[in-house]
Amino acid sequence: MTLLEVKSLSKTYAVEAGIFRRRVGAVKALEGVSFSLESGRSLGLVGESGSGKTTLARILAGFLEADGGSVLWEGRPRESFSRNEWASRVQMVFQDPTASLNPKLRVRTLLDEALGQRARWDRTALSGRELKERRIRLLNDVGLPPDAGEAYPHQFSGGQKQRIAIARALAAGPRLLLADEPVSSLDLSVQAQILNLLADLREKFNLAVILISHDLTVVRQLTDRVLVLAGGRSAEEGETARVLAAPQSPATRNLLAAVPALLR
Amino acid sequence: MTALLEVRDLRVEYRRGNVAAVRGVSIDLAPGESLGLAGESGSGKSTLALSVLRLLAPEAVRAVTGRILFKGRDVLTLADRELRSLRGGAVATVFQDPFSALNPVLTVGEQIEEVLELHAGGRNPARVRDLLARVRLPEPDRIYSSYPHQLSGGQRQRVCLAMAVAGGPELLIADEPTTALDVTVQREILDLLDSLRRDLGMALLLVTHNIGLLSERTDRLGIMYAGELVEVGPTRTVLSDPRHPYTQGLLKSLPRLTKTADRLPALPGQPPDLGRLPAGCPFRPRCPGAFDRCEKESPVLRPVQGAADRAAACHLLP
Repeated sequence: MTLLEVKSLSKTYAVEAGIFRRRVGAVKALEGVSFSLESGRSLGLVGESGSGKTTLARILAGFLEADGGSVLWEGRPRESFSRNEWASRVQMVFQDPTASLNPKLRVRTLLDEALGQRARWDRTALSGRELKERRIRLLNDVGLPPDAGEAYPHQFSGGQKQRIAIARALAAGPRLLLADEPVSSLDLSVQAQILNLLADLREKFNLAVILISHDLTVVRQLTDRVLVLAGGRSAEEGETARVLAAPQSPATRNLLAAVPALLR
Repeated sequence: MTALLEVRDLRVEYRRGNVAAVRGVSIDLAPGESLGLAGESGSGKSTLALSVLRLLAPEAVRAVTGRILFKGRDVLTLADRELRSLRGGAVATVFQDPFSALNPVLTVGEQIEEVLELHAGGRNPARVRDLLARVRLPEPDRIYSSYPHQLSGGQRQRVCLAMAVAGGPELLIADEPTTALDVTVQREILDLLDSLRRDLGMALLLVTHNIGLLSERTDRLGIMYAGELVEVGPTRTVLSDPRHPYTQGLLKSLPRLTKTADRLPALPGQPPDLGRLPAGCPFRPRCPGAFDRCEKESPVLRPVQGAADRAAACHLLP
């Protein structure tokens, strides 16, 4: 079943200059990009900086409005969803877990807030015991012990912080996870653990994943399909294994050439 | 051949957290040779690289022991004046962030002229243009009078490289020189680094967390873990036939274009907290082959049997 359908999406940023912010030009960040994503499947979104992948991710997350085209969720336009309705379907995980977790809150509080929010969206309430049960299950889902809730984010290593950020995203009960460079700030020996965790969660919750990355080895490991962006346009799209084995566009070939021989 | 750089039993302790970031590392670099140092956060690779020119903030460091011999002279005991002439002269550096390495209010040309004034007998605009062309910057005249903010990240790193080689160094220390750049630009900068090293006959110490980048760029490779050098040898053989369980586990866990399974054989655990190192071998808690000796005794780096050019620090090795 098609979960998400993106049809000729466009976004233009104004270029302003001077103290009166006079509009002097425009940059087309995204131009006619289309793709669709099936429920429980994964898509890699790759390209260099300036390719439009971050703009696309921000539109999908609901942080940014597109100028043209449409985003459909099970056939329904994104604009027809309230902010909360969208957040209960689509959640995001960022590159730097240190910046994305409030340092003043215990992990327990971070997760309970997200769980409580989801319950309110569903117009239900959770008892203290239910909340605790769900929190412990969530921690277990991401490979953390139950008592991890008592600590503050800074007491964890980078990999564990990313697990917490993933748990918080899952607390909203999403069916699509947008993961923006989820392992590139982590230590090399920890990256495989997080990639495996994302693969496990996909299977367990039939979670669809859009992985935004510049690293084709990570995209190969985690995704079924890949969309290569260049200069705001779709350069190539298809099955990840096939696209990377027989690239058709210069953009894909460039990114492939950047992969060290060791990892080919 | 005599070594250009000899690091002997180097130990660096920081005041903060009262930890030793480098714990007894010895390593040599021959003239013209390129050595890669790979490691994760807390491995001590950057501390080691910065120590070579005594670039660590003095107030942050509690003690530095051991010896760092550059052409036979101990950098750790050099007078300030000698140290200043070494920095940017015989030993040059390039860092991760080219923007903060450049002076924002001086033109590119002016900054390179300053290096020539200090280390190459005086200002010389023709030589500056030659250097800019050498790092493959287009339109050297325009770049000469540009300010850093007018250049792209890759161009700025090229300017840093031009400044680094302006003093005619025998050793270039590059600490994560491409980490802040786009992947396709990374490759260009590494290619440039490679060709500069060959053309100018410099030795290169290339420090990075990205072990893949080192595979094609360095003659020898050292792997650091928790402040120790755990394995060293010719890059090709270390990567194709790693001997230390950390190097083995790390290389096996990396995702590759030739994907073989839906789950990667990940290493368990995380790099250790230097303030709370386990007794014995620092890798023991994550090691699949650990036995009782590993808990009692920290292994020392020793030659690998049958490979005189290789060494590893592990009790499992014969």
